[in-house]
Amino acid sequence: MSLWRDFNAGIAIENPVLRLMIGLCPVLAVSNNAINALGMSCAVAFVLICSNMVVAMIRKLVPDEVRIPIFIIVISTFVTIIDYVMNAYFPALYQALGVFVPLIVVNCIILGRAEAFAYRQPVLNSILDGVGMSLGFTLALVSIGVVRELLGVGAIFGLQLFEPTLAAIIMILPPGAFLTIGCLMAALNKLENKVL
Amino acid sequence: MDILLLSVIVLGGLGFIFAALLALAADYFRAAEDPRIVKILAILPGTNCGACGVAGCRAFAEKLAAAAGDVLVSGCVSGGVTVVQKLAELMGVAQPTDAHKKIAAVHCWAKVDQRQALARYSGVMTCQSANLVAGGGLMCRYGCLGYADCVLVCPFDAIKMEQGLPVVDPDRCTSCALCVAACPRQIIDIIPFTKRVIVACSSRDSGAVTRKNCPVGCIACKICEKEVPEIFKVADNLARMDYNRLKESGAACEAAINKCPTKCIVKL
Amino acid sequence: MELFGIFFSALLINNILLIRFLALCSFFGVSTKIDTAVGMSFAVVFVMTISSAVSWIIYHFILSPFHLEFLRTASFILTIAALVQLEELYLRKMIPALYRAMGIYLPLITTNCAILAVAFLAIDYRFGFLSAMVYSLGVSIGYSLAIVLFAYVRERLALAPIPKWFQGYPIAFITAALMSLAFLGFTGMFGL
Repeated sequence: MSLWRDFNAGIAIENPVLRLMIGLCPVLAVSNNAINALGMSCAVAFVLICSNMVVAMIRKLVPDEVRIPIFIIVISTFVTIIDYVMNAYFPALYQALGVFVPLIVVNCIILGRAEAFAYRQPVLNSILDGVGMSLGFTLALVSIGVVRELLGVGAIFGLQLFEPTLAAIIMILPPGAFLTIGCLMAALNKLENKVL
Repeated sequence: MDILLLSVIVLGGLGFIFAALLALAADYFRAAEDPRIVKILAILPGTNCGACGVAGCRAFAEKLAAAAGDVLVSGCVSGGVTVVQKLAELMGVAQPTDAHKKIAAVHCWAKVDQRQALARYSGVMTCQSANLVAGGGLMCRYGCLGYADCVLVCPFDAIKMEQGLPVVDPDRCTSCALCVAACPRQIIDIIPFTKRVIVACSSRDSGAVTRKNCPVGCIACKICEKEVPEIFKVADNLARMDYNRLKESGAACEAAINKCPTKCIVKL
Repeated sequence: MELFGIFFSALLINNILLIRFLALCSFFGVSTKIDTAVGMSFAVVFVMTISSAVSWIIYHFILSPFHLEFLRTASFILTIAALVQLEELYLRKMIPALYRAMGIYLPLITTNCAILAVAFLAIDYRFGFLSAMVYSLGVSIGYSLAIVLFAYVRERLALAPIPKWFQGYPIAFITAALMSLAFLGFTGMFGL
């Protein structure tokens, strides 16, 4: 069924982070602990689903030549909303995410899905695609966050499991991010039995 | 309401200013371009293979439009006869008559299990690299190495490896000669399409040595020279063909093909 | 000297690609060959310096006085998109050699997060105009350094015998991890 397919494509087969290789900047930067990862994924999910919905709704009215600027305006509206909401209700998370919240506007996933999917498909399919992609993004981001936090400071979601001195602090530093995602991709290659 | 109006004005104003600037700039900075270049580009195959001797289809189109004189319409070798004819029509010049179809031919017939090896090569798996390291470990210093450098470089997907030997697809090959340059042993050359008979060996080793290295190599026994002396000449332990003397279809070579003891004269 | 500190910190110690994780999509996409990496870095240096200047001016002279700071996301991205288009037109007519060197990467830069990020960071760090310019120059040169180095390594990687599941992107990421580790070593240099 096409709706189901639109939904679960974003989770595994076309996982935006690990298969399509888009939207990498926030993945590496905010995955140094699982809570930040979860917060970022919620922000991206909000913007992705809303912008997919709006773009699908106005797709018949938008002329082809100016569609990219229109998408960007729509996306930046939702990003501004989530930016201020986060600043008001989750100030600690907002501080932790820093400049990456406004950068969601140029996150390739959102612009890419608007261009490749929402512009051509009806509203319901676009919403489901948004939900699927967000789930895939969340899955990838949170798993990387959990691995890095566990190996880096010995905690999960803030819950200390073992002594930080036994952990490798490199994992929460930039090199650890690259390393984790590289190994995760290799594992996914092996699982799907195909090299990207 | 006040701030809403203000933000609409500011953002709208910014957008308007940028749009106006862009419109002006598009007009002011319009780079004049010969309109024929676009038409030429549409005719050219667009593969940027470089066979014309210039860096890509756009450069060829620019040169041709500038009518520099040293780039003829027949420069586009890989486009084939149709492209040359269309270009000649567009540029208003006479149709050139030397656009005969050609094809690449590989002068080696040894499959991978027929090549005698004296070492096992384990390094960078390209022909260029293998050739530099003791000839890739093969006993024959002249034959095909089989690491498919020619396959990779062909922009038309016209070469495929079969049992370690490159096979040229006559329908796809445009004789752009990129494979000729890519082969480190230089065993590929371009021959006329209608005269597709070749001596499928490049070994200049003496007959006895060739016999040891490969079962299908040329041993310079001169039987072909005896059978068809106008076309086959043996020089430097290798039989060579004179394509200028060979009439179309290569029927004259039948005797040589049948009598060759190692079956290294091949009709492609 | 404060300006020197800003420049150096942007170039090496807080290298935009390897330490701050910005502009990564282009980092992995464009660095497969050295020529494309060089073309991309030209484009980034060119666009980033001009865009951050114009964004700074727009923020401090238009948005701030009218208390419209919340419009910065939309106005910065609008500015960058328009500037990229203008620069492309200008270069094509005036400096064709540079235009050809950049190729298709010039229009692609609009969605490069580093450009937008520098505009934001120049505001967050409360830089004056000159400091903002020095900062963006440092960031863009740091980007060029990282991407060209990475391209050199990736060209060699393409010929090396890598285990099957790691071929392609996984090994590229692990290489980036090692480079990032090396750049971490710059922390504390010159007391910064």
